[in-house]
Amino acid sequence: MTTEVVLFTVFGLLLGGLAFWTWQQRQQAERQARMNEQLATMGKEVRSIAHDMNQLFSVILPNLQVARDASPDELPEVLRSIERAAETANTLVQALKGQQRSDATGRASAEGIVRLAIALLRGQKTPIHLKVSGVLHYRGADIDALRVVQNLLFNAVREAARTGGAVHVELSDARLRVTNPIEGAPPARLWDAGVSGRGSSGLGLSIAREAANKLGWRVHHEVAGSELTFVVTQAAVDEARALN
Amino acid sequence: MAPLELLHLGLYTCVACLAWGVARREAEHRWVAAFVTWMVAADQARRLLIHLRQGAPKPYTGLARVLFHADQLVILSWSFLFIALCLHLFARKRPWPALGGWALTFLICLDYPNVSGAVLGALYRGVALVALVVSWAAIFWGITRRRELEPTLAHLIVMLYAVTDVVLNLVPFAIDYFASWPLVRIANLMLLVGCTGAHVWWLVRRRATATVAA
Repeated sequence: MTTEVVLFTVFGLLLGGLAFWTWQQRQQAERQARMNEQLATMGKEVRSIAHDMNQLFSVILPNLQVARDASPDELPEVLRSIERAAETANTLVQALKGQQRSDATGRASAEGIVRLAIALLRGQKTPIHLKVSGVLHYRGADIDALRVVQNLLFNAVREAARTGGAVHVELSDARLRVTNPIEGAPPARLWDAGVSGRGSSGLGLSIAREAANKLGWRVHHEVAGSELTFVVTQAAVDEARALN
Repeated sequence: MAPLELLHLGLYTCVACLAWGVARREAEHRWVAAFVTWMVAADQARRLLIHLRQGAPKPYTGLARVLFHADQLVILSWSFLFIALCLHLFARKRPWPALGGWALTFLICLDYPNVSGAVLGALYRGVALVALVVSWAAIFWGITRRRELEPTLAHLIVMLYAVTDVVLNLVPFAIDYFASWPLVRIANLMLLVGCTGAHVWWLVRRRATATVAA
């Protein structure tokens, strides 16, 4: 009987040790997975910030070159353009520091963000027409709202500059439409990262979609004739929550 | 003292010292160290209590009865303190339910001499089985549901104790727990060897990690 007790106890202790070891391995694997996920998120954020900054420099640097050769009449307009870009950079930094402009319900209106993004692009020569007839709300960081609007507008202005047309921005209830003329059909996977055949980084629309999802917005595009329209809508879930 | 008992005491003291050594570096382990220390102290206290009431006529009265109830309190502490330890380490629960159960069971024991002999044996068996079920429930719940729980040496030691409890309570030939006391001692000795090994392994690994870091 003593032998049996010894054998059973040894077996039990080994089994207990094995169970502990398995548990430890599983916890380690899960911890590693969580860390990888955090690193991936951080990588995405860094990529978005780099893209934001790149867009700002794409406004500031050409304008500085223009300023060097500008006549005294043109200089104030060029300097204003640089100033707006610098203000946007400041807004980005404030947003990154976590400053929100939400109201008591935690919602903020996108109109200020839209006007800021348009002001930033006024120096690009492409006419931008804004029509405001309603309010588009968002819940979350200003930086994400600015990313959505700025990236859609940059794409629209770039395309409009190529075809020589204007960009129309329409802000209505729970909806934002950014329309620009295009030549030919847009790429099939327009919203995917790296999809660009027109000299851009191909990241802007992908970043815009990710940022929109964080805010409870949905983005899609519509093609009608020779016009491409980016549409931003408030998710239905967000609307229902607001009503309750 | 029989050689088996002496070996048991020596190993238990060794595990207690090692546990306090680990507890100095890992705060969570102090609960295990306290539990092991209590088990060593309880063993010696029981020896003394049994010795003091030896020869007293049954049913016990007066001082002998007080000593007998003190002995019961110590025996019940094995199971209930182990439940409290499992609840704390694996389920992050406060020990009050276990301590309440300890007090309640002790109150039942005070109904002496009605609760004695076979009735007392059944009561102890019931308590041991409840401890077994609750401790394993806490362990399973902690391992499967508490994703943030970090496995430590304290958890390993408690799991080794719980495994030994299964062997002692559920293996058919060991059903008569108190009648086969030497067998319990042998199983405990093996548990203590396992605990000593686990503590030494942890300390050596910790030292190696510290050396590499330096």
